[in-house]
Amino acid sequence: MMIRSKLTLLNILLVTAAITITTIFSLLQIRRDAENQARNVQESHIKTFWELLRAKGDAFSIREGKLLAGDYVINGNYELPDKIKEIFGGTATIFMGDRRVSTNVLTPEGGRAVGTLLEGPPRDAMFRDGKPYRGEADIFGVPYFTAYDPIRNGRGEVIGALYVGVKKSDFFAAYDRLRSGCILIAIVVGGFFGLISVFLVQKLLSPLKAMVEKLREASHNGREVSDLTIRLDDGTRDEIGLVAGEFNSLLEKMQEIISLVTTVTNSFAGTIATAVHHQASFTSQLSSSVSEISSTMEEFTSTASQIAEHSQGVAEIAETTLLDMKEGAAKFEILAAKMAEINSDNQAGIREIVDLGRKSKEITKIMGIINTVANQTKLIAFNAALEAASAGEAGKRFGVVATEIRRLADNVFESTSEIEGKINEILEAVNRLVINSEKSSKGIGEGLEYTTRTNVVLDELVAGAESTADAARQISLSTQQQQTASSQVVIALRDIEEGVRFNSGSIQQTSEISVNLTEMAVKLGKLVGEFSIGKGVNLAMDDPACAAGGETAAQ
Amino acid sequence: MNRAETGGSIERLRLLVFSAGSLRFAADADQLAQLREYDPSANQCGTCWFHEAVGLDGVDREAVVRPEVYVVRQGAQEYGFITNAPEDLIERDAGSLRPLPSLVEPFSLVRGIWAALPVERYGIILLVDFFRLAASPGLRSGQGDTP
Amino acid sequence: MPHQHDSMKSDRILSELKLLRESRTITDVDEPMVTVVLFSLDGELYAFPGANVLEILPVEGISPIPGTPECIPGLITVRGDIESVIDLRRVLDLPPPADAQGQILLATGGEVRSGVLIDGVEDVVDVLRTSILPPPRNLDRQTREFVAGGLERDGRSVTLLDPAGVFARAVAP
Repeated sequence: MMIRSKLTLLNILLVTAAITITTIFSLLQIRRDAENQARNVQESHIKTFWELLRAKGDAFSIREGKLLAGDYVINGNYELPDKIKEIFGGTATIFMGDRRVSTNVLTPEGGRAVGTLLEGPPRDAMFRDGKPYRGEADIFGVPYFTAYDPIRNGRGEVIGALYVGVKKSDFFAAYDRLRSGCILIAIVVGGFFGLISVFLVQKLLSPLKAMVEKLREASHNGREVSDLTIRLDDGTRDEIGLVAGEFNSLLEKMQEIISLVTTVTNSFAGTIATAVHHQASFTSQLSSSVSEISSTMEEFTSTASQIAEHSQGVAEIAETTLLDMKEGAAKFEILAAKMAEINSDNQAGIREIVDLGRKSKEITKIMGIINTVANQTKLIAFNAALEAASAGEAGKRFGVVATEIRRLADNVFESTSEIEGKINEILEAVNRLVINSEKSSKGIGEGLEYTTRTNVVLDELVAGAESTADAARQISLSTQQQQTASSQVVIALRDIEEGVRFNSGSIQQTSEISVNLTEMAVKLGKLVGEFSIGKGVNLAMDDPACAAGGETAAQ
Repeated sequence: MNRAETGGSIERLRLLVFSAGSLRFAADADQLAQLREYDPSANQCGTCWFHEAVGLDGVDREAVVRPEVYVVRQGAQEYGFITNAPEDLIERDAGSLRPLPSLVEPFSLVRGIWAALPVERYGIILLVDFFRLAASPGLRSGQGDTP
Repeated sequence: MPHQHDSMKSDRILSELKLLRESRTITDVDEPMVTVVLFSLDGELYAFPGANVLEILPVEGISPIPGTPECIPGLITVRGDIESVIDLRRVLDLPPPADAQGQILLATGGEVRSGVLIDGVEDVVDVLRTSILPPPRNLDRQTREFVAGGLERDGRSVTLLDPAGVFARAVAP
């Protein structure tokens, strides 16, 4: 807790205590007075009740279950209690034994509260000890000051009791008001003085607060580094000012020392750690690289010898392929020549067929001419028949000749139509032949084209096979040379690996030493790193040398 | 043949051969008064198109490629028939002409066609008498329409 | 039995042949023959009496002549003479032919002579005069003018035409 708060709280406590104590004392006094007054009132009430009761009858007795004052029957007679209420207010009851027989107390339902029994301390006081009772009691939940007196018969036996009660609140209303007023005033006064004391303490301690804030800001303020460049305000001419001045000079000295340490630590830790680390990592890289190369070279050497074997095989196969190809190409050329021959034969065939067709058509034409001649002949025969008819008997023989000529002409028609049918068949056959020949001609043409193309491809293949064979031979030679070279490389690499391994050992020793040094430097760096010495210089913690040192140590 | 031999007084006819549509016609050259170029702009009274006058169906005026006017005079009356220019002038004996077959004669005479002449080169040439044609009933009624 | 049968058969045939010859002789004497020219027209058979047909001619160019009725397509030359041609299809109100081929019968009828264009001559035959039937009664009067009668030829009916009637019909208005 801040001094400021402490002072303030203390002040408030003192003020509050003083006021509270004063108030409590005066209130207690007032309360006692009020209680006395209430007791006196109670006494006068109960005395009056007695007077009223005795005025009815002096001797008290219980006859036939009823309480009598002289001859005055009290049971169910509410005259006296009502009179008490009329005079004083408050409650009044007469008990027969410990049973209420006359009262002005109303039950919550509105009836008279008779027939119930008296219980608790009042009963004990009266019916056991035979003494009156004074005290407080709750009547239907309301606090009352009560007074009970025993009623005795002629033999001095307690046969009943008188009771009066005054509501406590009637007496303490004034007291309650006074108490509320006192508490209010005490709070107001306490609050006022409290505020004043707060203000004064604040004012007195404000330089101290400023100093504290500045220091807090310097030391933490969310960063991991303490700032040594801050200075406190030492303007006040009191003890606080003096303290600030002394603190400032201390800070200055500390700043000098820290900056010196920082410089040294930085250079020391950085240099050694970096150098050693680099060397170590380089050496290990070199070592692993050399062994990688070494194994690769070994693989390479075995692969190369495999290639050499394979390429020898390839060269042989290529040689064989070349020979086969050349043979194939030669055979294919013969095939192409045959195809061309077939093609020209086919073309000649087509020409012949077409010629045949043309000649058949010519024959048809000739047939047409023959038909025309036959027609004309027939016409002549008709005309001859007509002539013969007009010549009468003489023309009859002529008519027979004409008929014969006509029959001849008809025969010619029959023959020509038959020939025409045959020629048509020939023409159809020719057409089919021509179409088929054209189809086969087309097929042969395509075949020729494919042959030509295939020839070209074959030539290319032969050339390709030749170059493949050459290449395979070259590869075979090259791989053999390569094999020799790579085994030499493997030997050299083994030497290098040996050297590197040796170097690596000595570096390991150096590294261990430097790790120790670095650890120390790191510790120091961490220590001084908690301070800032101005110009934004950040210390050691995120310097690579530190990280390197850590790694080396880890190794 | 018989007819050609019959008389020594047989006339010789000079015939102008011209074509109209697909047919060939011939007219007696002596009948013609004049043969002149056809001028469409000139308004020539009594002139008509020959193929229309003779009743040739399916022939257009535009089909007449070298129109000339064949002019004949009958007393003071002058008629002109427009048709293709003459192709030939041939001379024939009147005996070489053939009268028209009896079936067609009644229909042809009213059109001015009075005889036929078979010629090796041309086939049948129809002889037209322009005077008869000018007097033909079809032409008289159509005269007003002619140019 | 077979031998007897054979001799009986030859006898029978011989006697039949002799009968036939006799009947022919009788026919020649009693029933004079008539020559007819059978020709086809639109798939039907027609005939002209042979006496009316002078000549059968091939069609070699018909030269039109203006002013004539439609059924007279024009003129032809027959050995230097000019003859008219009647289209018998048009006269008989038949449709025009599928192909232009045809033949011309040079026919006479009364005072008139003219060519008659037909599809083609089928035959020139002699028939019995008695085999010529009169024209059917149900013909209308116009047709009756040029139909002379009818006959049978190889199971086909033939209409016998009268050339004079045909000519008259051709030039009738």
